[in-house]
Amino acid sequence: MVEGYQGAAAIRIAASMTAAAQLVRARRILTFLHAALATVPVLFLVAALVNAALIGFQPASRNFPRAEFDLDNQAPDVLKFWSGPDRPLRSAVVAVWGLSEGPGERPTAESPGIHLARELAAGGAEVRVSDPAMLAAARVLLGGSVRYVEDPFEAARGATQLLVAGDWPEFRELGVVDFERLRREMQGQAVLDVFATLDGGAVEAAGLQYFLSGVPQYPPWLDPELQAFTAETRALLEAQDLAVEDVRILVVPILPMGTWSPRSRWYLQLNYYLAPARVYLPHAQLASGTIPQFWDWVRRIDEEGPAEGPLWPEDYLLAVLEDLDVDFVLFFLQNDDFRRNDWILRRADGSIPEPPR
Amino acid sequence: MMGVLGGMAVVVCAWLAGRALLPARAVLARDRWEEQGVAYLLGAAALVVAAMLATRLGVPFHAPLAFALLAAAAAAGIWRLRCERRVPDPYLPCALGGWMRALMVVLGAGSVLVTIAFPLSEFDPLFHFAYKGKILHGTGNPFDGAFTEVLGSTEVPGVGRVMTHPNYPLGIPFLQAFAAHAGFGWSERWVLLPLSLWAACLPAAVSLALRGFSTAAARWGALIAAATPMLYVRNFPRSGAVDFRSAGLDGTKTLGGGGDLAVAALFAAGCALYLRARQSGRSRTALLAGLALAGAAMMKNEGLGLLGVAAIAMLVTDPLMGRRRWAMSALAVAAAILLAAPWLSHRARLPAIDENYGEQLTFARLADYWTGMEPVERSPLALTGRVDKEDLGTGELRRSILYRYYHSEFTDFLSFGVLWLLVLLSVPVGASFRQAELRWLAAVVAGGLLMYALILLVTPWGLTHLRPMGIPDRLFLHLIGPAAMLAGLRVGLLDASADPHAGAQGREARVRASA
Repeated sequence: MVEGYQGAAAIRIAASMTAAAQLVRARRILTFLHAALATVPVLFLVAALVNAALIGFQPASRNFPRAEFDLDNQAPDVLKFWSGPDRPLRSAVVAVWGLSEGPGERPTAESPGIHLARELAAGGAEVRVSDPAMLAAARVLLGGSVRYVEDPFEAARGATQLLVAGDWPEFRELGVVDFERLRREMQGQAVLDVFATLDGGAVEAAGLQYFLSGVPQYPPWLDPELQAFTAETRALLEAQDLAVEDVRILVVPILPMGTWSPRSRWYLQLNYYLAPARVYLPHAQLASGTIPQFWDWVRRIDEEGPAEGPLWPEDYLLAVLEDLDVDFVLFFLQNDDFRRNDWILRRADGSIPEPPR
Repeated sequence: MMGVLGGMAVVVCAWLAGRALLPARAVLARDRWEEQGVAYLLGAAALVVAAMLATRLGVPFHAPLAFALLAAAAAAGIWRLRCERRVPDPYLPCALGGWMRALMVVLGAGSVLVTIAFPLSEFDPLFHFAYKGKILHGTGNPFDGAFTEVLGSTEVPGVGRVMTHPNYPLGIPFLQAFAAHAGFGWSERWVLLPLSLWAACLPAAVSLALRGFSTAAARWGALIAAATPMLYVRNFPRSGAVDFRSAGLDGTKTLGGGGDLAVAALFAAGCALYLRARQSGRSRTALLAGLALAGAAMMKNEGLGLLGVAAIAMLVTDPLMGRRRWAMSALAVAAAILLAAPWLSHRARLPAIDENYGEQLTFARLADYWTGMEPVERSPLALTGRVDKEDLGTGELRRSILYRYYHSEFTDFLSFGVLWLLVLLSVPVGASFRQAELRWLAAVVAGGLLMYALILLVTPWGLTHLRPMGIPDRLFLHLIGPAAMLAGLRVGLLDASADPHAGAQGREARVRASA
């Protein structure tokens, strides 16, 4: 009896020792496996340094992948944009630049250029398409529903709208002079860019209206328009004979919010790059808070503001200007792309600040 | 040029301050690498604590104060180095073998270079930290209107100044403002220099902690910590070649001007010094553990929660600890609270517009959220009216989201390697449960994970949208130090019998005996 008990105990001890040994072995194997995974950070660090060196250790919007365009969700919005109640599609002449998404990519039925050209033509618009290399391939997909033109400017001649749906260097390199020519060729002024290919500032400087449809992949603070505006504003403030840390700017939305995108929290960038200048915003606690609080902010601004014009009744705006001793007012339109035309900076008395010498 | 010199001056002064603070090597045995890493962490914590105390006493953080603190740090360190020249105080042999040493150099140097490869260029580093650093540098006043007027002034209640997380600690901003003062101007790149060393120093802290047990444990612990990809990047390369092309640009790196790595490194240093203080019974080491824990609390609000977790774990896992261990534990916690007190009193006067977990973590709220729903009506698609509420998963409980999050993090091998599996296999059971240090480390890791589960349960952020923003993986990053210590201890103790250096305990014991 006693011998049997001792035998069972010995078996239990032996079993537990075996289990412990297996645990030890498992731990040791996992440790080696984990150590082998050190190759992941090493590869990352090397790749990050190479990437940094390739772009001169200074990130810029052009270093990021092109804007994303979600065909299912965004194409209906684009089509709606072209065919508002005051702009019937049947009377539209739309030029489409780019049918494949860019160099090295063949056009498919899912390419935004092909899809939108087909839908626009089906809606009754006259569509002229141009592509630096893929016109022949596009013919197979679009057939005779559109007109094929080699020269993009010829395609735009007399167009009421221009849709840029290919991320080609030929379009990317266009400057103000080219866009001035484009303005002369076009009958309308609207330019809608799917992949953020064009220099929006140059388009607007030429007197056209620029709209960005895709979602840029670069962070908002690298947006060339926002950077240019911030630099201009900073230079403007410094030219006003005021110490920057004493400058007070009240930011006032002038229209209902056009977007709920967290990307549109551009006022944070403005605040950062103008610091230590003092930037004031209505309901700043919501505007600075969590994403749900930001949505509350958008809703609240929309509820408080009239459909058009400044946010508050004039006497309240004047009271705020006086109480905060504001030097400048920055009126803005809320979008998730950053156009210089979306911001208007005025002195508190309404005058235009003197430009830097 | 001045910017880089300013950043380097802060690094050197912090390191010198840490060297001055560390006890003699006869008291806290260590090798050169462990010493440099922990010295920097302690020095950075000391600079931040001193700056906070001074501003709390009403001295503005202008250039004279910044230079005075840096000069004091440098003077103390130089004095200590000169003293060491007179009295020999040998180092322990390096715990790491040849290839491990090379790996540490590559990872450490790489992490520093990648941090400063780009100027400040991500959301959190820019708006949660650097903006506050700019304000501190520009105005010298942690009560400037930028910090306090987010809710609007009394005259104009509806209009205020934008600031994300006004009640975030000022540790990172102070380090940046030090660098800006020392460089005679704010530099978007070089204010990052003092923040570039966290990943390089963390494995050294782990190694120092485990030196008290065995050299093998120190070696394995350091390797486990340094090899964890999350110290540098998360989820890389999930998309293959695309990730290589966007490495460093796409916001997945954890290096940079954020606070998570700082919390992780300082918390690791606090745990390391506490473990060594328990073993040696040296008050100075316990006080330094308190300094590192206070430093962690001043880097991000989570650091304060981790301090609480560490203190509770001390009580829970070793209630019958001897008088010496009690004294060390009490000293470490008391020092941490005392040193963080200026920040805590300051924080009480700052508006909490979104993160105020002390208020939100009530039993009633936890119970409500445990059984409650994700507020679907606040999801972005529902707000824009693009999707029916029903399609958004109405009825998805927060706890099921949490479960999914935790499961995906524990099995995210590209971010954490097999660290969590190692931790699971290292939980003390059976005979190992008798080892109080193992129990404490396991309780700290488990307590940290539990704390983050509770925080996520009540978070005012949209829980369903947090994962792409790096939550909860950036929170779990804070626990890499104690997790690596726990795993390293279990793996390394097996080698103790064959260990030629037999840990630091023997040497410290000899010093104690001779004293």
